[in-house]
Amino acid sequence: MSVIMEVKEQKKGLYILSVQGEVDMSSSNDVRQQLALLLNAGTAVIIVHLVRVSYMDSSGIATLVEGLQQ
Amino acid sequence: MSDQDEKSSDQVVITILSKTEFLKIVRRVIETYFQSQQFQADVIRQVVLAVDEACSNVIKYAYKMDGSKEIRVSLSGVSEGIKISIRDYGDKPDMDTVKPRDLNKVRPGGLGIHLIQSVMDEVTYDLSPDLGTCLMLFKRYPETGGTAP
Repeated sequence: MSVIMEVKEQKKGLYILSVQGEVDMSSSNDVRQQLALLLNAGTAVIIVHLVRVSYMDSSGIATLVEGLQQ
Repeated sequence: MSDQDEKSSDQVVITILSKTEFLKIVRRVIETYFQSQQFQADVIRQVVLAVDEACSNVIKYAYKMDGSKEIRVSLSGVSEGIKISIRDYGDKPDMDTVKPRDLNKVRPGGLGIHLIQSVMDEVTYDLSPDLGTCLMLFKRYPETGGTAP
């Protein structure tokens, strides 16, 4: 896995998903699964922290758009 | 440029298996090669993304996620820029579907072609091989009128 993810509950219903590394076709599914876990748990607000992402391809962008549209 | 180009002294050829975890190897090679050719960092990042998207498309569409196939990426410098060819031996693309989509519609997928065509100065699909496709990309040196970053 080329990404490291960390989830923190900032306050009730607000989670921060911090992603570190390169989000490409080999790792975007890991991000997708982590987002799905949070969304399926009924999380009201998810902030995805990308400042430590050094690279993102279109599969990473698609993952974020999918999360946004759920 | 054809699939059977003669080797030049500054040609780099890398062959990987069609596994997504090997895409980062291609990215490092492209990055290193373009750094050696004095391209600016932001242009290099764009070219790395374009080639990565092209290889991802090969894995996804030509090979349908079969990680046992080969992708050959070759780079060579010519007088006006850098030629990159991406050769696969899988299903040929349906050229009716190889077109950038409307970016005003916010939806996942379909960005790869747009990125490739935005970044590269020339994008040509050679469908003539009996098996597979050779995608040929060209990036001009900045001083010869390449795409502005």
